Amino acid sequence: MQGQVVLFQILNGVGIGMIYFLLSVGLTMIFGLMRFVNFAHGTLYLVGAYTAFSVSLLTGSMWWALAFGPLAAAGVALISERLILRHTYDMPHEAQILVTFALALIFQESIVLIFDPLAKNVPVPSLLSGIVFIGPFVYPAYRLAVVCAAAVIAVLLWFVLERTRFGAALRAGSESTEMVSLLGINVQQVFMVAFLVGGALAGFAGTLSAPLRGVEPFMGSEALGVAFVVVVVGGIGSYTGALLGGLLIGIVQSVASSLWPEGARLMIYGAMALVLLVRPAGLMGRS
Amino acid sequence: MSTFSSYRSFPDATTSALAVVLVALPFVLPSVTLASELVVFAIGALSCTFLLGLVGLLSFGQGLFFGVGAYGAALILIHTSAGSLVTILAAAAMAAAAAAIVGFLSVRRRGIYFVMLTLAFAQMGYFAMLAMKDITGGENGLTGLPRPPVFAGLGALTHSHSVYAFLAAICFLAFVLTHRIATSPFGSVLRAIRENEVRADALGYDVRWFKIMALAFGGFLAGLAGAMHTIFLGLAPPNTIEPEMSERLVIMAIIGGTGSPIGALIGAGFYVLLADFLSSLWPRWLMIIAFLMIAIVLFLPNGLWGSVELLIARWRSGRVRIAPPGAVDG
Amino acid sequence: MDKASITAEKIGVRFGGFRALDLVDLEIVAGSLHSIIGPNGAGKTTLFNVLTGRLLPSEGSVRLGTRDITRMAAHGRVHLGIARSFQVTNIFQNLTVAENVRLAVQAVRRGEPWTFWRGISPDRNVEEILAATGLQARAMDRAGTLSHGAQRALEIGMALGSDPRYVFLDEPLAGVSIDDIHRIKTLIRGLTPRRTVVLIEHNMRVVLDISDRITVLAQGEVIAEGAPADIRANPTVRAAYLGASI
Repeated sequence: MQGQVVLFQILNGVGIGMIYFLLSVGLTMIFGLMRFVNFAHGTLYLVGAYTAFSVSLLTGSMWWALAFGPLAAAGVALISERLILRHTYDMPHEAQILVTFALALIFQESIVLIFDPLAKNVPVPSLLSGIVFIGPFVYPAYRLAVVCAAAVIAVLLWFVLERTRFGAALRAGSESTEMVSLLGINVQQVFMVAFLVGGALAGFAGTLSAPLRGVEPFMGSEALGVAFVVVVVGGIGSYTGALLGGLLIGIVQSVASSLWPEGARLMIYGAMALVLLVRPAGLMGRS
Repeated sequence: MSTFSSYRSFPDATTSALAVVLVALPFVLPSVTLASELVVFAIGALSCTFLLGLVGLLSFGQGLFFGVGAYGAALILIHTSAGSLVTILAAAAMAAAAAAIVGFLSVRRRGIYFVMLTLAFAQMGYFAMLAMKDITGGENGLTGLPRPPVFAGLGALTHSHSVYAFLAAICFLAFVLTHRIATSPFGSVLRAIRENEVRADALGYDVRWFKIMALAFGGFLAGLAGAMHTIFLGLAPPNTIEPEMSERLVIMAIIGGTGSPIGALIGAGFYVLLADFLSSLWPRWLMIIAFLMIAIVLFLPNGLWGSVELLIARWRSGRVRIAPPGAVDG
Repeated sequence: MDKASITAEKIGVRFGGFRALDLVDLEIVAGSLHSIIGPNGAGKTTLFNVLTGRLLPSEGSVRLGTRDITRMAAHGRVHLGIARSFQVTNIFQNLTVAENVRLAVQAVRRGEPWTFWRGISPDRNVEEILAATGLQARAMDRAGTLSHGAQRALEIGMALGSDPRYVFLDEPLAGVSIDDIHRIKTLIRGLTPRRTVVLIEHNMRVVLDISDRITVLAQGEVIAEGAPADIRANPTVRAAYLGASI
């Protein structure tokens, strides 16, 4: 029976891990491409989650939320970039970090203003509120749907990265921005698209996780922390790193939560510290 | 970002000015407890100011060490009969040790990556506190703490004015110590690392260890503030180790300006007073602070105090001034 | 230890698929002035980086006397007496000229860098170096305000700050005006035989004039080595420079 419990926790961890992957993949690719870290990245997750909350409240249906969540997040990303972020590209890194951090704070307070500081529940879509039998396991249908949706996106992303010109430019740009611009590729455009898509994915992660964890205004900064952990563990600028890192962290959290519930969230940071000690560049990172 | 560059001799005019301000504070502010709060957060902000202004290290994790100091002091108060001064110093030492460990892990990376790590560790601290709720009291924190005299049997801290005097004295000493370090050979190495890390390494300085020691001192300051906070409040609530505390200290440091330790005092004062004033008017006053931060980063990179210093320098250069010989840093 | 030579054996450096250095052997005799020359991209600065500890070679070893220092970090080598200047000026732009030199001198003063309880003590060596490099007049100015030639002189001054036994100078004369070339050339020549100088330079007249020994690199390999007269006459070297006047 012990083995089955562990296996179940691992499956559970895959579900969490896929969400962490969606949350982090945008951040890591942008960091690799532009050495730009958006400390408001967690906000995009937050926006996705609260969109899920409001849309399901207004329409009674989560399905609209799944469409609007990523769109709202991408919209927020676009507005922040146009209005504020583009003025910081020439500034030192610390300035960029502080401005994006202040932005995150503004959005967080706005959320509290519009809604309220208390945590809220988001209902699981009725179609997926049941359970599924996988072999001997009983698995919540919604979680399975999350894994499937995330897997589909992961495959789509992989396809774009490996098989399209845009993806090639993004991957090359993550290694060297000068080379890519010398080849005549508009790095700014690549960055904008990657930034918006990365933001939409983070929003999607927030939307997907809303029925699982509820929503509350401070989940943005926690999400940012988790995204950072995944980037550290997986390595900067690596799609595979984000996938492996996300899954690893999700599984660590899930397994830890069955062994030491209070320490589950602590363990993911412990894993990060271990990776830092043993392999500072991350699993898939280059030194 | 503005940097510790205005150092000439030690002690200098700002040291005396600081002493005057600290003496005057409880009379100028609406209440003594507000003055005590200001002084506590001035040290907390100073830990960020020191790291960013002198070494060029932006740390979003000083709240972790503030929390270690706060909880450390609480545990010492609960389990021992040590006086307040020993409690504070011991808790600060714990925080310094924690900072050295976190620093050892974090300096393996540089630049933005380093900042990311500090934020991650700040989150970690909060979850560690929750995980060890048998020791830390979890969501409730540690409450009902005694407030022993300064030394065993001497210097009772029963009156809020004596508490302020005690905290202000520690604040003054911490500022003086920071100033001393900034103008010492060790401080000159930290400055060199901030200016050009590669050259500092090529000159023979083991940059990693200098950074770790600097982070340890930053942790010491933050822990000192956290312990002072515990003595002041008589309790150690979870917000002392929440990621929001790290954010708050960074905000204070930036608003005040990182060019001088005085910026920490100004920034802390601004934040504490604004919070006290606005929180009853509009609970979302933090949004105003955030807008102010963006404005400062974009338009007033020296912060409030740095801008004042700039104005004073401009006014002074209107007269002919020759830099005194021996003034080493520009 | 003062008589120890620096020996590099079979140094190989690979960046991905690109071979920057291949099977490079080099012996630098104590007290000599040894120049490394070659066309652009030959790997001279890469070799410097390996010898001074900025770069770990993919193959090969570096020895100081009998001591293997291949894996030793740059900051450690300074304390063994190895110092370098940079091809692209790499000074502390916002600090004063005097502070730039003082930091170089302070680095090897036992215990001084970790002293945090007192102020900075003045050091006579700083004055001497400022005099030797002709920078006394600008001592209190921000290093970033110096002319290019003066900054190159500061580069050398900083390399000398640690009182090194082995000084690695990377193109110290790059962009320096005619008036200053003679002075700096004399300064460099005067460093030996008390110190050992390893020099990367493109100014052939100076190289042939002051060097005891010259190693020629091209495309990551040693193509010739010997006394100035031999190098001057060597046809392979001439070919490598494609007719540039020697």
